[in-house]
Amino acid sequence: MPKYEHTKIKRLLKAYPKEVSENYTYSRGILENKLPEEILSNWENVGLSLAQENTHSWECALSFFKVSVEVQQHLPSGQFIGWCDSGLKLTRKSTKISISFFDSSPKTMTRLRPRYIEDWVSRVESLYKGTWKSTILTCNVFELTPTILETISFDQYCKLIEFIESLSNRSYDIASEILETSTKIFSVNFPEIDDLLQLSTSITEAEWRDVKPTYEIILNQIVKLPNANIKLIFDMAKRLFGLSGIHISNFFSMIMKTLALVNKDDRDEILHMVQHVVNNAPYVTMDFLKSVPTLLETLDLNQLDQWKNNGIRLALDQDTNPTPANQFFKLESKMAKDLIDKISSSVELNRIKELMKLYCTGLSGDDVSVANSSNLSEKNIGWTQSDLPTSDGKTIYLPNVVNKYQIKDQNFDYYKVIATHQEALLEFGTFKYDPKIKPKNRKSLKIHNRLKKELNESQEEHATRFAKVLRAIPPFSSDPQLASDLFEIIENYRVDQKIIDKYKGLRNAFINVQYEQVIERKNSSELNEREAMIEEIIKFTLGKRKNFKIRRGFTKEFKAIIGYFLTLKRIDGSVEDSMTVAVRTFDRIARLPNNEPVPDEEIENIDIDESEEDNSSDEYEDEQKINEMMNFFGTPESSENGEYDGDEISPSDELEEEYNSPEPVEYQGDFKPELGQLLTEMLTVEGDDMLGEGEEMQGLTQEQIEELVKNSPDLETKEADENSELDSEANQELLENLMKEIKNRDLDNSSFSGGEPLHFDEEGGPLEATAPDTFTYDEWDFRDVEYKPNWCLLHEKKLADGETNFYKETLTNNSSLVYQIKKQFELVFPEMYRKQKRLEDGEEADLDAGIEALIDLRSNVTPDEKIYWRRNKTERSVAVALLIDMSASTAEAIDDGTKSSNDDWGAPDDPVEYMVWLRSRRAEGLRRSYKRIVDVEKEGIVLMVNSLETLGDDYGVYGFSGYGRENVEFYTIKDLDEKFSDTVSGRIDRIAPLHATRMGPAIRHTISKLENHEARSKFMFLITDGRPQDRGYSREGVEKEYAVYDTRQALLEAKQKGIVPFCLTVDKAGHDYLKTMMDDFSYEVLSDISMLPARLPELYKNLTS
Amino acid sequence: MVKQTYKEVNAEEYIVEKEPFFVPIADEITVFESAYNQRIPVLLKGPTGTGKTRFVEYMAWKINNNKGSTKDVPLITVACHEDLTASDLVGRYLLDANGTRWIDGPLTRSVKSGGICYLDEVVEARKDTTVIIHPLTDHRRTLTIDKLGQVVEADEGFLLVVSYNPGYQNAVKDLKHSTRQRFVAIEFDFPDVERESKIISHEAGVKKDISDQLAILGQKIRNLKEHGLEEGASTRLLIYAARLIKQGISPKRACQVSLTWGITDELQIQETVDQIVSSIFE
Repeated sequence: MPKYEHTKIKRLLKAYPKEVSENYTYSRGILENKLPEEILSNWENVGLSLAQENTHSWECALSFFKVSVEVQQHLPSGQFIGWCDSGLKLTRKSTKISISFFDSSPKTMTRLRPRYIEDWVSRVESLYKGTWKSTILTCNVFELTPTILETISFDQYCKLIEFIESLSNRSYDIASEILETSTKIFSVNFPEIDDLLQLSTSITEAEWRDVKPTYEIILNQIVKLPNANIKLIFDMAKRLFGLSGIHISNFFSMIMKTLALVNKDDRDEILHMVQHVVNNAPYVTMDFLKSVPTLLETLDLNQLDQWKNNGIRLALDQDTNPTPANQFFKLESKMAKDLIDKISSSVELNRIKELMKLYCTGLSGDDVSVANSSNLSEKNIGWTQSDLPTSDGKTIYLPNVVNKYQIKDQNFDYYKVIATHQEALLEFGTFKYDPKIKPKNRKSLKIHNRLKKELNESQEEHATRFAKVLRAIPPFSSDPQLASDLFEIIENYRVDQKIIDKYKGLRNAFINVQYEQVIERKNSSELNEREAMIEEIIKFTLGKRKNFKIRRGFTKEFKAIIGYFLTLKRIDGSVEDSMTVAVRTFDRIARLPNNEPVPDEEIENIDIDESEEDNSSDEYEDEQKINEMMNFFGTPESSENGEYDGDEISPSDELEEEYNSPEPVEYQGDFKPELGQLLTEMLTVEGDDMLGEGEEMQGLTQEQIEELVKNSPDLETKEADENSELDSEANQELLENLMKEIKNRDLDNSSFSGGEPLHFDEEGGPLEATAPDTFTYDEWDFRDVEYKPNWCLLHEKKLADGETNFYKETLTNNSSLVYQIKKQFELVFPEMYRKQKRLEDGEEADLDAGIEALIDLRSNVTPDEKIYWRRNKTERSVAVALLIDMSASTAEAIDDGTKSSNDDWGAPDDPVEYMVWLRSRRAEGLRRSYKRIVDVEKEGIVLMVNSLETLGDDYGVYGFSGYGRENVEFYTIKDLDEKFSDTVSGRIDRIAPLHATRMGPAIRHTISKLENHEARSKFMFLITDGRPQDRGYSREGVEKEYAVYDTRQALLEAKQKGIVPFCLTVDKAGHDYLKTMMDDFSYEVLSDISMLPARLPELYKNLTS
Repeated sequence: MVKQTYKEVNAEEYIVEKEPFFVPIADEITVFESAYNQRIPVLLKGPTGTGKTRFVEYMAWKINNNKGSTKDVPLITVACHEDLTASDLVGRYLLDANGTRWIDGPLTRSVKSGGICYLDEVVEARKDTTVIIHPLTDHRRTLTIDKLGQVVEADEGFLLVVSYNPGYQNAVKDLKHSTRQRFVAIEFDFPDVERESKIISHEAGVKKDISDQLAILGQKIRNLKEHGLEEGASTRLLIYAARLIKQGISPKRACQVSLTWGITDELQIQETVDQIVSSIFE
């Protein structure tokens, strides 16, 4: 390299933009005094070489001259030249890189020891691979170096560069991104830099794609943690790294999620728990983290620790076999679940659902079911609170988990309290309210009569009696919301008092819960006056007796109202009594102004003495008083006539505060009498006078429900005020849901409201069986009390072959059940080989029989010749036909929550439309991936067939379905005399939901099959999911009875022919029609369909042995 | 000589002397009396522990104490079991030192002595018993004794009463129609809470509040029938519980041993019953 003189350089630089020369001159002016001659010359020559390198390199020279002064301050002369040379070398590779190098140099020099410069440059330079992307990356590194070096050492820096380089081998983009992210991470004084870099390098080698998400979590979440936590997390990460299936990013995000679940103070604790797991059984860490949210729902941290320790012990005990520990931490093993239950103090509904159901069924005497209250709010039919208990008259909804207390038993008791309260609404007749029934309290008769009169006169139509009374007639019509609230308080009080009186064992728990709720309730002094009064009344109903805070002047009202309540309790009143108390209370409360809270001086403390016998005459026995009340509330104008007593508090004309309903009492939950009544009475025939005098209950019309939804203060429609359009939409949805729900429940009593059927099978005559494998059967007409000859045409077909896998899979999946059944069935065998006494010939003489014979001989009586016994194989001669319902309704999912209508009455009568309807129904079924009734039926059949093979009884399996009387389909799955084979198991696979359920002819055909078969005892098992039904089963209105009676007749025929019929149904509503249909035959209604596979063989065994 | 501390009478001389405690639910007393007057055999139907046996005892007493009754009507009860044969009812020859001796069975004794013969759980007995029941329960009113070659005409006072529990699970054990249709049937069911409480308090001598609670409990448990419970709690069991309570055992424990574990082996139901008990009793 030629060396030039200062002046020459100056001249040569003139060829470039003038900033170059300017900066050169400026810098030289300063450096002149600082550097020895030679070095100065080297420096300026490097500058010139830079400029001359290529066409763009003058920019490098410019940067070089700009920063030289600053850089020189930090470097001894030797190193300064080194720096210059490095710059020159870089320029030869890439001007861009070199510019970043120069630009970042001054700041870097403040952080970097001079002797590292070369190392630094060469390391960064190694990133440059000659490509454009690598250029950018290298530039970035230079540019960020000063920032990075602010927080990390050069050693760490070198590691970072190594890591970035190896990452850049995979992707430059990601490397650049990570570089930036790291800078940010380092900039906040990240404590675990070494670990991070080490981990990063490892991750890059193993699964570089995980680097980016890992860094993102670190930057966004982990850096915010205290240093100690970060250390722990990184320690764990290091340990976990390399284990199969673990992504560090995943681990980080799970652990952050876990930490988010607990309080800040508890983070250490939970991290230590995780660490404990990581150290002892690292392979379950992720499962553990995944389970933590579920676990924390029921366990507190100590309990969680205990649970985890058990899991770890399991893992350590079985260190060669990780499966148990895996399942434990995945919450899949029974042990894990039982342990939760054991340690946790909370009680989950799922574990006690069945118990609660039976408990409530037992107490109420109604067939109630129990469900999670969140189910109900999801249905959106008017209930909105997902955690409050409630009831719709048929189902009791309870919260998912109760975790109020430290002690498990207390939590369980709480469940019992809330379940009993809901059950009591049924048991004590709340939903059966009928304004026509007289209240028990004779003093209430005047009110009762007046209500009845008003109701008769009222023109308004309402869906339920509750709705009508609470909304349509005075006094309530003036403020239905207040009326509903008051009635709720009174009715809850009535029911609670009955519970406390009747269920003495529950009394303590009940009173405790009430007491706690009183304490939790609002201080009434913060409430507006009317609300405060109501609040105090609620506290009274919860057992409070002292220190009521009542405004001076209102005490008379309060005491009077409490008097009504006490009377209600004393006379053990009915729901009708509650309503009359509601009238009285409403009359008093509604007249109170709802002004803002009054100052404390105005408040008086009152105690209630319950033992005080209230003998005062009831003012509502006075007709005039009632008239006055009705006028007062009846029409707003009439109240101005001022006929009432002057000292009554008049409804104030001043601006009143808006009335807000009181907070619901937690254990009492949501009280929905209108919906409860509506839904229960849709099911019962007694509901026929729901609409008032003499009116027949015809099922609710769309309008009536709409009206109910619109007017009901019960139904809290969401966002009512915010957006009216939205509101109406929500209403619409609510309405549809309600309709759906009612249809669902309404399995039996709704009148079929499809259009007029086109024809009835009344018309037409007997059918003739011409084709092979067709048969005709008579059908019983219960109205004419005679058979309709050859009324049904039955087509017998063999079910097509299917896969045999289903058969095998079912057996494998139920292996334990199969084993149990087999064991049970084997017990039948010894009975078959039992000692048979009193035979004419046998192994040995029977002593008893012999003595008897001798006695007979001596007393000159012809002795019995049968004096031998023998171990004999008594021939078990049993033939059974299993008849399976293959109707479309068996396509339903067995989860009753999603149960749609299982009624086939909606079927169109026109054959063409019918097929369309059917197809859509079946398509619906096909899309479902969950278990259908028919699947369970199939499983049952498989187990049954398997058991029957063990037993050696003759059996046939048949399915039936059909549409219309001329198309009864009868499918043979296994004929009575057919041997079991793969074909049979294949056919079982083909059992599928088809059409309707015309049971009669199918039963008759089975009878004829059994009749032709020789066996000593013959049985027919009918497995069905509902009542018999088919298109055109007789004329409209009596189809159901017709179908039931025809089936019954067919069963009677069976009995006459010595066949024992048995009906097993999964229709929960089965009891009512089965009672008629099965007369005194045996039947069983399975409450839980999943029991079918187990129950079927058991029943068979009981029945036939 | 050891003093005889027990009372011993021949079966045909067993007369119900003390009025048994019986609370009628409907008109069963009148129906039975009328049936007896007309000598129509009676079938008592109903679940276990509903007072069928007690009713027969009561009726035996009542008939004896009716004005105008001239002769005592003994009550002979036979509890039927699977191995009960016709000769167990009719009688058989026995060996003794001198040869053989004929012994009348309970049915023969009551036919001869003109008493009420009560076959408890008649379906349990072997089928050959029906053969001897048939001629006794129609216009003939005769008992054929094969081995003696005799036909015994029933005494004027004789009446056959059978009881039967229509358990619906076992089809094999059902009463044949030819047998069934020789009886008038009186249905028995559990009494209502008020009556049951009265019965319990009388039988066990407990106070009304306890008998009330037990009666409510009985009703609640019966609600569980068809929900996994095969047979509701009988009044008898409730009385047992009451007696234990009277002896000083805590109500919860008394109910557990007499009811919960008595009526079912199914855990779920047991737990439910326990919970109901603990709700009702303090």
